[in-house]
Amino acid sequence: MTHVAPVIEAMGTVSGSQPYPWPYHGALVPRQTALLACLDPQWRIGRPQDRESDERLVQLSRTVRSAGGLVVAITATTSHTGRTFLNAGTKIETTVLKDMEPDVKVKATGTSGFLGSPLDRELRNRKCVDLLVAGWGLEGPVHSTLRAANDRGFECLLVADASTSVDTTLAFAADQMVCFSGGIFGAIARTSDVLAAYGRGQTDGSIQ
Amino acid sequence: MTNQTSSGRAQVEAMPYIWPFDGVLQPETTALILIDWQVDFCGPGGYVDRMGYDLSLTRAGLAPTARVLAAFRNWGGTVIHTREGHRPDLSDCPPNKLWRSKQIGAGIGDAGPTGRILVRGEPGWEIVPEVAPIDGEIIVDKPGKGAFYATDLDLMLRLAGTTHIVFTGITTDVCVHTTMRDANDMGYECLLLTDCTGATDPGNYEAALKMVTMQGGVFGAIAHSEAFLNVIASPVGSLAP
Repeated sequence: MTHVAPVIEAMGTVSGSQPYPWPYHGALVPRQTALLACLDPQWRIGRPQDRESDERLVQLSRTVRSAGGLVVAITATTSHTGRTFLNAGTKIETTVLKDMEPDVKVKATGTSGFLGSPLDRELRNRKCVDLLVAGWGLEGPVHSTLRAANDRGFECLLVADASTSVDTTLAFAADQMVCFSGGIFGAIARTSDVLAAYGRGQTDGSIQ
Repeated sequence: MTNQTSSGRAQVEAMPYIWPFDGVLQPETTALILIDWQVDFCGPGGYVDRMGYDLSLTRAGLAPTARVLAAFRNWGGTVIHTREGHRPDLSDCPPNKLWRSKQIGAGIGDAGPTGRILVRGEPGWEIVPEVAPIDGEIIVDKPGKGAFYATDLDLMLRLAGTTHIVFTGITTDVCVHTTMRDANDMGYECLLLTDCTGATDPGNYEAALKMVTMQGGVFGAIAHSEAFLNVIASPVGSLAP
């Protein structure tokens, strides 16, 4: 048995995550952690606070990647019904995509990033089992993707303030739904909580 | 309540649009999916009941669902029941799901008031008698919240010629929503019956309904069961081409 001390690879849990310290197995392991950024422009409003969320998304992606994790951007094909809900912010999408420099871009055929896309295979190939989920449409693509990931056995953390809602009155419930029954779809946390967890690892010298 | 299009077809008074969008509601292409009406979630003596939770929240939709089920059978549509549960050796249970269940004192596979919790074949996993399947109806056993992942549901719907799905079941924000989102993503035209579903948290129930109706019906539409019954139980509905 090879001796790979967990302290070198792992950083403890995200303090401040609800309803339990994430991840459930007790240690954030950067190389098995992926950021899933839902970036379907149909779900982006572009309010000032939304731009702050975009900045957090970029911060998260830099941190996750520099620690050896995977950054995935998920976009979508036009909805099957042909309905377009919002003004598509293609230009914004391009800017965020450029700033994030995702390792992988996948295109899904529905609100769930897993539908009609190679997302599951990409994550399994990279041995990513823990997922940070965020992006545009907290009550839409972010929730659908989180739900699909949870059923597939991935351990998910919804980064609430790096996610934006089309209908802000639904944001609270969207968070509550995740936390219900001890974390039925995983846990939720703020970007600063996640960055702090990665930062602790850096101070410990565990990120090369 | 019945809305007739110029072609004489019947549609349901739903929110946020008259359902279905294509105006074609007929038994040959419509399925009724009843999600997880299992003893442990809504039956007397089941897990939720024995733990002292308010059983009325998950049972609220049972009586209207039974009425819809009877009318739907008579109408001639495809009836599909789902059950959440795992294999006895739990080889299909993700470790984080198992961990969470133990954390809240309801460990999957542990002995409960009606057999091993969430394990296939146990009394608590059975569907309650009020809406129990009859011979010829499809039953889908699912390991997760969504009824499509790791099941043959989509295959059976396609083979049955189903393009439209009406949902009932528990709980609204978890298993019903996950399944309806997937169904919508896959191109099925979906309707959720508001009084035939329930959640353990009233706020989550309300928000889940609102999420369906946002942006012109991003996941489909919602309607009271009476509006649906008015159509499938009416002469126009039963004579639909």
